Amino acid sequence: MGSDIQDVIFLKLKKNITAREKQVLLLQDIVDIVAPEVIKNRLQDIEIKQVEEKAEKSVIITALEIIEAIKDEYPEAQINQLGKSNLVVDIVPNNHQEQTSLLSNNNPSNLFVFLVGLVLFIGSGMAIMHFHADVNIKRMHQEVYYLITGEKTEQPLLLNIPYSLGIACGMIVFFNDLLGYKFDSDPSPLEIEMFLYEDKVNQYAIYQANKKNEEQEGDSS
Amino acid sequence: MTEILVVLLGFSEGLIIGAALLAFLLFLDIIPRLIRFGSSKEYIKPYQYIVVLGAFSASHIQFYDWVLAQIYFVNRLVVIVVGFIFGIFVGLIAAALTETLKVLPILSRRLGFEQQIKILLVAIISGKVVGSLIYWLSPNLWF
Repeated sequence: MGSDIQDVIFLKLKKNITAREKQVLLLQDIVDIVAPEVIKNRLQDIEIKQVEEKAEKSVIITALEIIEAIKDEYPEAQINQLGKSNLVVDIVPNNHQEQTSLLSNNNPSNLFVFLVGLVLFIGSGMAIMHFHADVNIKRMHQEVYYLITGEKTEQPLLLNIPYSLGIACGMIVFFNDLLGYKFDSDPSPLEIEMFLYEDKVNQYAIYQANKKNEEQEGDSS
Repeated sequence: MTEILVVLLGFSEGLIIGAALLAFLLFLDIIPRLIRFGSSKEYIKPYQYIVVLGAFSASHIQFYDWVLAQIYFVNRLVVIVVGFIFGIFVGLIAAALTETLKVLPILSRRLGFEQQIKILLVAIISGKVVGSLIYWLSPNLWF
């Protein structure tokens, strides 16, 4: 084929993009591009899609749409697309900063954080008390205390209190995180879970969009 | 005859419970996390034996009326250390169970708490400690 090495464009979809309502998404907003400087400058400002959906929804952009747009502008381009072939763009309201709704609020008020924290505080405390009652840990502690010190006592506080503090240490080790302090460079399981959860939500959005597209094509044919 | 039956019963009971205990620990990813904490991958084998040995010896000790030799205040220190270690283990299990149910990722996304999640973590951990202390300090909760 007559394609020159100069016409080769590599592009890769960016990840986790947000757009405002009615924003026109340009090529440079959604892909990372490697191409000769001249072509790159020409391509940067191609319009890919105008956001029509309302805030809180998301738009799916497929690699095909992007390639189509580039081909329109620059037909001889040889495009190599790397990585994922779908991109989910989350739409945020135009007045994003002032938004105060309770749901999907990126800047919750301190009072709200405090209330949720209080619920979790009381809830986890009650949960551990229920757990203790369930497994009859009291008798276990009395037995272990007798084994070590030879004293029979109803309330072996010398064992109970270090045990309670140990629970905190165990949880901190597990989450690998104490107010931002980390024991090693691995991400905490919580961060991994957050990532996996968001990834699943995005994949579901892509699946839904594909299904909708197929249905529309089925109707028109 | 009855003796053979009892031996068989006890053995199979132990087999299933031992397997279940290890399955529980592995499912909750507790051992990998502790190993990573000391970054000591080359000791995986010994750790396996230690877990088995711990379960084996503890289940025996429980059946006898043993008391350790008393050496002045040393036994009291041992009690404190043992309690602390026991707590660490229970804390690991509690955290792993919370995590398995994916409460925090979903909660924080629903409410838009991406940054504040660390504060929630502290709330949960301190809640556990306070709840545990309340349980131990008020004997009328026990029974």
